[in-house]
Amino acid sequence: MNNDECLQPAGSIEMILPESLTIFDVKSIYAHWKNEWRPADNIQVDCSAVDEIDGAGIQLLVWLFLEYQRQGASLVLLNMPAQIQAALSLYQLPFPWLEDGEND
Amino acid sequence: MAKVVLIVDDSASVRQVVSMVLKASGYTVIEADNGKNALDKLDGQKIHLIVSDVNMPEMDGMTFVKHARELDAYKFTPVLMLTTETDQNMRDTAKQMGVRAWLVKPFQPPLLLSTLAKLM
Amino acid sequence: MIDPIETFKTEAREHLVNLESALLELEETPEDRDLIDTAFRSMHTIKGAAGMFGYQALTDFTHHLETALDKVRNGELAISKQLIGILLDAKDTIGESLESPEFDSHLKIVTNRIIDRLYELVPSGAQSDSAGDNEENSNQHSASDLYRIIIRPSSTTFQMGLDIIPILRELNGLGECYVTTCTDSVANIEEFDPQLSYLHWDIMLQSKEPASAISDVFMFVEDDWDITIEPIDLTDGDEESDKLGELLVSRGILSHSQLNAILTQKTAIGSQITQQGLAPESAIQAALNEQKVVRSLKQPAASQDATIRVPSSRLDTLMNLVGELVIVQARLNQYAFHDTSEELLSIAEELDVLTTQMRDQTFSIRMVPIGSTFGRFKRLVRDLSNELDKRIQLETYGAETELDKMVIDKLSDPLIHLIRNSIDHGIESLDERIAAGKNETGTIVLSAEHSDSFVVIRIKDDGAGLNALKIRQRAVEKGLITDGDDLEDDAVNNLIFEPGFSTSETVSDISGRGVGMDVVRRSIQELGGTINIATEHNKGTEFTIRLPMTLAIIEGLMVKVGSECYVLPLSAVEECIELNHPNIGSHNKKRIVEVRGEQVPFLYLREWFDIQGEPPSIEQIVITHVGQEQFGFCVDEVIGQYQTVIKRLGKLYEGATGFSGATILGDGSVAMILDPSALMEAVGETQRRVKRSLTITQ
Repeated sequence: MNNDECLQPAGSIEMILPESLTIFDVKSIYAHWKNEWRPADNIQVDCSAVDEIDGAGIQLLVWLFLEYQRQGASLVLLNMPAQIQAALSLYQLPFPWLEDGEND
Repeated sequence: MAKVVLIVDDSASVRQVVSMVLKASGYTVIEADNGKNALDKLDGQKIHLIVSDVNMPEMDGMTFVKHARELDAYKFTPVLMLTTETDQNMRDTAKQMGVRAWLVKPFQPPLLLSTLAKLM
Repeated sequence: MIDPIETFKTEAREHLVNLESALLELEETPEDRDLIDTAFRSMHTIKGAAGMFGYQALTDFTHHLETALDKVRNGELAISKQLIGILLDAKDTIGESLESPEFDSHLKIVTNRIIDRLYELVPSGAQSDSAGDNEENSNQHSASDLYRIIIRPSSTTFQMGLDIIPILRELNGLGECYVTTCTDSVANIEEFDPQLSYLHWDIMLQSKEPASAISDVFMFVEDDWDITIEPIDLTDGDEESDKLGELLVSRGILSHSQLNAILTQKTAIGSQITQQGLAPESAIQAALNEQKVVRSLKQPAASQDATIRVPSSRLDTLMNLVGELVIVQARLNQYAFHDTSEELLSIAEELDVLTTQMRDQTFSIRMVPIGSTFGRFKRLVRDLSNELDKRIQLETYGAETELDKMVIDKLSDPLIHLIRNSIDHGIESLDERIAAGKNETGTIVLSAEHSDSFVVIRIKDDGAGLNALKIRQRAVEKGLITDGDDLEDDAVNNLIFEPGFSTSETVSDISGRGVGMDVVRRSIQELGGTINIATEHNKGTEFTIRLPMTLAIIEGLMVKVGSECYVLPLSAVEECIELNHPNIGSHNKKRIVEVRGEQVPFLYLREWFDIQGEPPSIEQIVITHVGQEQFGFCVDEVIGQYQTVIKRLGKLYEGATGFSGATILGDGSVAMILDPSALMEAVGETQRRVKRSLTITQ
């Protein structure tokens, strides 16, 4: 029996987003996430380092949120820089993933 | 981080106007006077938009964009072509290279700004 | 190197000089095309340069002037002394404004004044406050204010350097944007390629900009993306001229599209207008005054409610549908509550509010004052009493009490029967009454009132009262009870409701034919009600009928015992308390709990319904009132208020006591609706039976 099969979902895990989340970065970020995938009940995503984001980046975040939601987990975005927040709010997404509990 | 625009045009006055307008609106501007020099500027630094004239000595705009697109760091960078004529053939060629945005010269600065707003 | 801004200012001043001389000459020779061109070009250049050097306010200002000069060029606007005057003033102001890119308040006032004067001259429909490069385009307001925009980017969008973010930002700049990002393609994807674009958008845009400005946004993407821009027509043909909004439109303070945009928001028109600065406070006040006057003049006609005849069956169907809607809405509520989507929850809540209103409205349609029925009885009493040679008068109270029309219809026969009974058997003949020292004229009192959420109807007579002995005899004759049975008075009286019972020797024409008291009781039970008798020998008899207000939906209190859910009518519930130390009463399932010094009997539902499993350590008692008495029900858990759609139990359940119906819960399971008074009676009955059996075994 290998370790992976013994993985119990962790309660709460933290993810740290990189500085750049654009079309140039999404392929490798996605691959990395899939590699390091851990099931959990609650995912805390630290966005404080994000400097650049575009449509591809936001789409990837949407994917992440939905993927975890499919597994019954909740995902929260923390410490989002104002600029990134502004871009995200254009989408008016109905996701309860902002710190203060509000939707976009 | 301010958005970085590369302006490639052999006309100094065009470069000056574009540079002034963009800087006044908070952009960081890098200038090059032809395609070859422009490629030198593509050294890996982050560039958010390439604005390029078509007709230039040494390396014209189309060739420059083609080469730029071969570089990993710039293969998805949006490109705005400046042109004095509405040559459909050229547009089609450019389209195949992924260029979607055009601006006809001469243009008023406000038009430049509103055009940029559609791309960045 | 010279500061470029200085270059700009110098050049601008040169252009201003040109402009001024051109304008002055134009006053003399208004037809001179060259002069017009010069003036236009000067203004055009200044505008462009101003924009280039960050003089945004100046750009906006000169845009208006350039537009006016363009109209002169087109022949749409004629040169006049006034126009020249305005343009010269404008030129002076431009000169002043070169000092700094921002307009101070003085400049703002002056420039606005000039613009106002300008638009008094300019032909209507030419308003534009955008300094964008749409000067070649027409500056007409679009008829529609609302657009639906559907955006489906191509999958290789990102790889071409295109993006939705600038597009969304631009659309937001054009007006109020309601964006729906459709994430379904991302949600259900097998192999997600992050470099491809999957999301698409459905946007509602409220904008005053011309349609061309909107399609302009998509200039570079329209070849590759799937884009639909659909104007929404907000105009409808309503004649509601004294509504505040309409008044403001007819006074020219608001445009129709402005009004409609406002009306799609659900807040008060007046406050929105002041907030948005669309009209001064005084304009709204004036409109309100007009409204007041108009309405007061319209008053007499308005006081008569127009009525419309509708077949009852339509209302029945409607009520059924509303009932079903309430059930589905309850299911949605449950689902939304447990879903992560806040949007879903807020939609469910909105739906809840609307459904409740709809329910109340629908049921109120069918409410009819009982007085209409009472009226019939007066005639009945008069006729009958004449026939029987008795003097009887009918008093009615509470004629305005409203009941569901169907209830009234179904009540009609039972009430008639009871009244007939009173007249026939209750009220004595003239002689008997005098002999008994009573008033010659017997009185029957018919009253109706609301009590909690019940309607209570009483039929009271001051006649002879029920004869308990006679009833007993009859009951024994009919085999309903045996001679040795010991029954309380109440029970004896209730025997008259047993089928096949009748104390009359002859089935009199009047109260006989096929309508026995048992049918009366059944009818009332079918309406979800109860009927009780109070009687006193020689004094009289009173029948009390209690009916629930609405047939189909009640406010209930949901409780849980084990895995079973039950609903108690909320109107009967007084309070809920915790049960820690049950006072075990006798083994007849009736127990006592002390509440503020009072002894309240309660029923242990777990035992009564024989529910398996272990009770929780702390149980709840729901105290209800039945008539004047209090009665409790012990349950595991009180879940909460629940809008209960009552489904009547079928014939199969006729024997089951204690239920007034059933309801379907949000998750599809069934909860029984308990009838507190029936249960109380049943417990009492059990008590008596045990008592009897104890007596017998002794």
